[in-house]
Amino acid sequence: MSRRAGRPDRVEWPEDRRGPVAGFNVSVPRLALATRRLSFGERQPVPADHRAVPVPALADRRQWRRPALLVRLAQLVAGLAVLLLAPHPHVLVVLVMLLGLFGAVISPARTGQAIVLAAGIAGWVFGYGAHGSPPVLRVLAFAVALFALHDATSLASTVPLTADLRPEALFGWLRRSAAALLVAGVLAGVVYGVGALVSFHSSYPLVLAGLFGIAAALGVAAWLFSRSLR
Amino acid sequence: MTAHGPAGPRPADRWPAGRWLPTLALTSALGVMAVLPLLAVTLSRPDLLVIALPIGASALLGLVGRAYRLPRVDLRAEASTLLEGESTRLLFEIEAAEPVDMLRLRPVLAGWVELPDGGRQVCTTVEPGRPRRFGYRVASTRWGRGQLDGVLLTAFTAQAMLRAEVQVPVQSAFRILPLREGFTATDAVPNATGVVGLHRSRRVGEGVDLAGVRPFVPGDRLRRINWPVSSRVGQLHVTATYSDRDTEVVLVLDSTVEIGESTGAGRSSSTIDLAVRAAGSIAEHYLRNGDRVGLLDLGRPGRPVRSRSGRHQLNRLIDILLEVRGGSAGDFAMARALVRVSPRALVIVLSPLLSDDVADALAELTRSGRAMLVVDTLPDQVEVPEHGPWTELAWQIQMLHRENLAAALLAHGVPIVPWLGAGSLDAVLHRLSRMATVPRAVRR
Repeated sequence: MSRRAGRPDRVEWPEDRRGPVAGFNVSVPRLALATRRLSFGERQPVPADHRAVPVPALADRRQWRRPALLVRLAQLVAGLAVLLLAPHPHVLVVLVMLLGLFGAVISPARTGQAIVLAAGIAGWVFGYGAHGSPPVLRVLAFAVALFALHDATSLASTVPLTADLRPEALFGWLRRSAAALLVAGVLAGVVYGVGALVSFHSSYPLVLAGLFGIAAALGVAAWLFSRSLR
Repeated sequence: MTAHGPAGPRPADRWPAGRWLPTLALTSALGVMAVLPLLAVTLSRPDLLVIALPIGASALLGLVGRAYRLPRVDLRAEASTLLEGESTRLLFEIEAAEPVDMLRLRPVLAGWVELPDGGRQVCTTVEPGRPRRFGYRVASTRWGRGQLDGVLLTAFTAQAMLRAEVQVPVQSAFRILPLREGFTATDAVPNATGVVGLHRSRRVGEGVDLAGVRPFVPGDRLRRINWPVSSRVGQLHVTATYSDRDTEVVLVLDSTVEIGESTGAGRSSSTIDLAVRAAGSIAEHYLRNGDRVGLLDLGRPGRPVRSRSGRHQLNRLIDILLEVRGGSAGDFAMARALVRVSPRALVIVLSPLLSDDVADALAELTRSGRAMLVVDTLPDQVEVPEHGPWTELAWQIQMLHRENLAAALLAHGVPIVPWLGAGSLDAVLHRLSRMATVPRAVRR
């Protein structure tokens, strides 16, 4: 082996591996004993795992949490209740509602919620005709189902499938929902009470009051939303 | 909203205002509130008004009691230095001036730390005057550095009809030490030449290991007198011992080639993973024994770490090891850096033996008479990306080339041992120590 200026010698394949190595006076096999466990043949490449996941949302399904799934189940039950309580719904309404419900369960923060609510209301309105008068119990059941669907979808939009929902957060949510239902129940009693006293079909002042009430409610909601920091 | 790491300051007493945005739930509720009562009035159907009431009441009640300010998040990490695979807890404390219906938290991490179970988010709530505390587990995946970049906080109010999202900035860094595999080695080192230490020197002096019994000479300490031998022989004899000395160990890390996928402790390792873990273990062992340890990264041959002893040196070496990245350097620079290694140092080279340049430099180093051994850092199972039908064949050719390099180095008298943790180097160290006693001619 010749030494070149400025560069170390190139390692070359020795002609006789058993001979003593210059400078060490040590036979190679003695040192090679220490390498008896070194087996080059065993090292095999393992191809990296690059399998494609067909549906990304299902990739982490093993990590879905039970509370989040229960919220979706409540959504589904409420949506089916809305569908079943609507009288003689049209096939198109049923299809749209099922699609909307599916979308709302899969992705609650998207437009599925609006679609399923609109389809449910359309099914109810057209099912009873322009001037229909459905039974009170059925109205109340439909109102509760529609509210449950809206509320469960709102809750689902805050809780990803893989998230841990703390009990205190769930109970607080249910408490506020119950309060809203209580207030709505009282107001429903007032509506039916007024309906028992005055005919909705002939009272123009009632129509005017209703329109004013709608405008007031929407105005209050808009004001509450846009109110600046105190 | 503020957050800080283990040594950060307390957050300022100020409630941050959030930018609340309407969600689809609010849009839907307003739509129901507008359309159904209108239909109820125009069609004279009170049932439609009743149907709209729960959703309307929920929206109005929610908006009346809505929050305007975001909660304040205080964050601390229990530990900032972890071992590979070890986990720590991020402790959150959330306070709010107004009730927030739902809070979703997710730490944003960078580097070699991860949230176990895929980074599960926590959905909770907080009320004024009742701060909520909970912990997040953060696990280190691989040696190196990790960082908590912030906490992604999503707050919902008015029954999720309003939503605000903000990232809380956090300055919290994690230092992830390579796995220390409990490495131990024999105390036989080729050149124990220092002043103090635990290795047995070839010189007789103050120590523990018995060197023999010899007649007493003036200057010997009285406590060294071997009374049983002296009484039997009738002449004072003393017990001679070998002196304890320290040695200099230089770890040469071959980071010029990296093969394999580095996915963390307990999973597949790359060649650099194995080299760094082995270097950490060896350095810790020798530094605890009082030796001087230095480090030369062949990927950055211009920045060697000089040999020193002590705990500070261990920290310094670990810090350098955490920065090791795969990269090539010129063969001339490598050879020049290796030539500067002390002639009496024990050189431990951690290499996968895949680079001709490194093999050249090691051959040259051996011929200059340094005590050197190579620790093979190619893992048993190597994950390589598939690059077509020739990958397997290319790998086999690479392995043949490696075998040639290893055989050539062996022929030059360079022992090669695979890294197997504790006791990996014992046999070779014994032989190197014996070799050090053999007279030799060295070309310098």
